[in-house]
Amino acid sequence: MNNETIEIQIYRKVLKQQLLKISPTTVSEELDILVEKFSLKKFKKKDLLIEADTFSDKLYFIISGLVRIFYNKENKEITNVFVCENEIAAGAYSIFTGEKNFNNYEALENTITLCIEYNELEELYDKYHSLEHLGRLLVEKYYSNFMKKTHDVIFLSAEERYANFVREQAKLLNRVPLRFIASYLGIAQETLSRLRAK
Amino acid sequence: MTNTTPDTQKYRNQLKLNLLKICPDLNLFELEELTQKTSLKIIDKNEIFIKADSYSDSIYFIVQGMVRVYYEKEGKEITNVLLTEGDVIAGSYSYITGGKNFSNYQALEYTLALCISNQELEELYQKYHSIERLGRKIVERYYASFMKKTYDVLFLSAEERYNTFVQNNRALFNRISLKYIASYLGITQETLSRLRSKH
Repeated sequence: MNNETIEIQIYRKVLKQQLLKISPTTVSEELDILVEKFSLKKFKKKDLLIEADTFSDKLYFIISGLVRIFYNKENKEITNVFVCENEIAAGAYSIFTGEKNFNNYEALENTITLCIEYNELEELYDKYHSLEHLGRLLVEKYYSNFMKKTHDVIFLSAEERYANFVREQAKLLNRVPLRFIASYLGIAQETLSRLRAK
Repeated sequence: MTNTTPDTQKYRNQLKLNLLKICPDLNLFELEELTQKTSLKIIDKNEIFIKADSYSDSIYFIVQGMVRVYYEKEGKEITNVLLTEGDVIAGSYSYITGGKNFSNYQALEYTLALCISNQELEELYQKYHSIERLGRKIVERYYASFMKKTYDVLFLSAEERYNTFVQNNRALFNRISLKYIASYLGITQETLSRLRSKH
């Protein structure tokens, strides 16, 4: 076995563990078949995993590194979400509708991922009920995250959202440039500095 | 209010057709069992049948009528989503996370829905592969439409949003009061009247 084969086997184990956290009842042999379908894909800092206004049917599981999801509006970049280790980045809108994505997905650090096409996943969902179950829980999880995020933008103040960010994603604080955190919170960088000093 | 009328079977058949559109390879015996487990619920006009800040324990398949989903912010009601025949209502956030819902669900017309408890649906998911697939397809569909709505508000002008709405919801237009359409489009009623007279 060469180094890359060994490397990918280690990553597939990590993926398997994470998927078992989402659906503990998944049949182990079926899950093995699923993780075997993932291939290794590496991105350099500033590479785009997915570009806005393009089609994408890929799903990326982040092994290491960090991805920022953002859109452009009136020449300004607005950051929506940060995706880090053990999480999934996918152009869900394009996958579910066959239309183009709204967002860009940019590596903020050198990023290692395991990658699969959604239709390959669906083939396995069709074949194995326990994987179908996992697939439903996955999409429910990301749907509810999106609802929560939208809700927070509408109902919470910048200060409350900053407090949540510090609580839930503390490890990102020193990894993400402040301008992206400010954009994520929908506030000016000066306001962010004030909140941080507090 | 829940009851079974001779019409219940008619609505169950209608529901089967709707669900087959979402997931064409559904197993028909499994689908039959799902629809037999639903009961008909009558929702009066203006009734709020799922409240914000509460938990929801049932899924509703609308077979007749219309429902608006809205939240309140600073004393104002903002209409998010309009649902009608063929749509599925879950109070999804509560259903998925076990937390409380963010939105209110109010019938805008006399509305009939076939209803099943979350727990019964989960049991069917466990029992039948094709029903679980249906569940995933429904979530994917509403996830995508929620994303679309969110991004339309960000990227499209009021006029573009109005045109899209008219194109996609022609049949609804005369059924919904203008104040809800304006709220849904994120514009004032005056702007809506101006756009209507233009087109």
